[in-house]
Amino acid sequence: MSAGVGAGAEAAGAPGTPPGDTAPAAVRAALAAAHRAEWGVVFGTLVRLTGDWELAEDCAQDAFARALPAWERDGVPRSPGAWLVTAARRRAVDVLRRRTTERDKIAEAAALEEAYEPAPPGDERLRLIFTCCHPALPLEARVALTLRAVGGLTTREIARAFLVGEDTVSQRVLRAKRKIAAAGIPYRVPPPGARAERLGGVLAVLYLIFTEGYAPSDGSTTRDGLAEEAIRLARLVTAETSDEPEARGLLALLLLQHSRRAARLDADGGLVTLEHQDRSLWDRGLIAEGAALAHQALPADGPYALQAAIAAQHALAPDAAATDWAAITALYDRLLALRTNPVVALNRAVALGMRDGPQAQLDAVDALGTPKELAGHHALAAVRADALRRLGRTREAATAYEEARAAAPNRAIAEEYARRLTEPAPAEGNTAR
Amino acid sequence: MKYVLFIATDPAAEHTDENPEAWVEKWNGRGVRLEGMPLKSVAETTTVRVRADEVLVTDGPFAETAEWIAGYDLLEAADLDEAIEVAASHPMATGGRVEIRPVEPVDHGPDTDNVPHEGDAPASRFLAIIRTDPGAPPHTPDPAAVAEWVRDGLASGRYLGGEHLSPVEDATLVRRRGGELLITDGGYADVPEWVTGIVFVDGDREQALEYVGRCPMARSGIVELREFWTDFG
Repeated sequence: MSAGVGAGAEAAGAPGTPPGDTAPAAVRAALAAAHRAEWGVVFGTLVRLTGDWELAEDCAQDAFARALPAWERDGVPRSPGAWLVTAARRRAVDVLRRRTTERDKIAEAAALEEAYEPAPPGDERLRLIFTCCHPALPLEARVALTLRAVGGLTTREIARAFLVGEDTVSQRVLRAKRKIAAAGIPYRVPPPGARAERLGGVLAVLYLIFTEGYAPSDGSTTRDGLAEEAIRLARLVTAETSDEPEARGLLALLLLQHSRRAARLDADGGLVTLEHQDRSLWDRGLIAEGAALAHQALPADGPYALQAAIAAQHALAPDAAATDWAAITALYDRLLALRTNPVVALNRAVALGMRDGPQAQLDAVDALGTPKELAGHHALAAVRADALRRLGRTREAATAYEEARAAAPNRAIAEEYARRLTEPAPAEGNTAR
Repeated sequence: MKYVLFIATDPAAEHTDENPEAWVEKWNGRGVRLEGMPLKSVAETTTVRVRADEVLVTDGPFAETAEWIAGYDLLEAADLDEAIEVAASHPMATGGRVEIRPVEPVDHGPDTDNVPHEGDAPASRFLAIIRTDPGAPPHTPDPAAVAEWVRDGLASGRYLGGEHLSPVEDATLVRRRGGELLITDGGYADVPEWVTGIVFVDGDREQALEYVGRCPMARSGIVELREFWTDFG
């Protein structure tokens, strides 16, 4: 989605772009890198100084627009972030001066000019992300505002990523900014008493952004840019909340899921299930990082850390048969102990089936009944169908697969069930251990 | 910032016997809660609309909803997070739902401030809840007409004050379920007739009906007259 910007960021990260270099390509690359790294800090600083989200966005945009000719003329500044904040702050002073002749506005502008204390960039980003993810904002507005204000994506980029109209995204961002001002949503990191709870809300928004990129709700194939943006934001949050294991847990989960992106779809765009994926396509670097983070986060027993630990078990196994299904079943038990969740219980049934065989899986699925969260859900029928197929109860399996296929949310999943429907019952021992 | 809390019922909520006395004391003591009053049953509502110069008076609320407003409180809070803290600590966050609405200051002209009063609420008998009517053509009441209605009410003693609320998009709903605090975007009930303001009206029911029948907001919106619960035995 932000291809130009992203590519630039990488180029600028390479050595050989010393400050002061005015070659246009190098300047553009430096600016693109600064946009990726500093947009949220510039935006956040201006929100903190002016309390006006509209003005803050305008000033941040203006600063980046002015940077190109200025840096071409004078060279890339030693600290692009500080340069951009100063430029944005000057713009705010100008706008406030021009906007009105009211005495308090002039005082405000003067205060902006004099009493500016730079805050650590991490603090600025954290304040911004907590405010963008405030639970009083509608969820879709939280998502759009986080990507716009913290991530620096344009409304067009967000619209493309979510396959909605640009107007829809603009409206969501506008509505969020309006409510922040009108309802008095404070620009700050919540106080210690509320911080852990609010962090959960931030992590939920990041996970939603990731899953929209990883398993788009409209059924189109993956959009790696969005997933990568979610990972980048999760890294920012993790770096600033070292005392919060769940932030690490989420980052670990995202990295581990993302490590499989190259193996998840076949050449025709069909979904490849975990056990059939070509594990040589998995990204070992992401797996190593994700597994280490999951390991650190696990003792706190949080839901993201537990899910990450499960993903790590899969990621580190040489193949499906050699996976430690006993460990995975135990992790699912811990996850269920936190909160009863039929979807988790269904996943546990699959793990149990791999540990103890298809009859155990079928018994576990039947014991679930039809909880309302799973009523009409394709996965319930599919897990049942898989167990029946492995037991050689072909006709019952066919009925269940047909049910799963009819309820599938997108084409890739429907095709996977259609394929399994025609798959012969495996020789026993082939799928289990 | 000023906020109005609407304390609403919720048939799906958990049962609680806790009364809000300690809550009132705590937040009054901190200077955050300014005033507030419970309302009598919604069944005793009188609804007033003026259409084509005809005053339409009906018994009962405009829309029958499972959730209804059982009381209001006025806060002066630092920001939404403080208002949420206040709302979340109300027993009705558990036993019902609490809607937080930012107040939008309106100037009706000189000497039209709310009538100063001692105690928890204006010495009025009625709360007029003003709502939008999605069925009526959109219409913004003329501020001059509203100011005149306010001044007239102040002279006759019917009008004791009021608060104009920012749009329902700025509302925040606070609930506690299973010990978990739920903070969401939106109002206490999912109805198109959202509350735009409240007015304190004094007098007997007939006098109050006569006064709200002349309310400019009743020409395009809906006014529900609710009696305060003042007879505490």
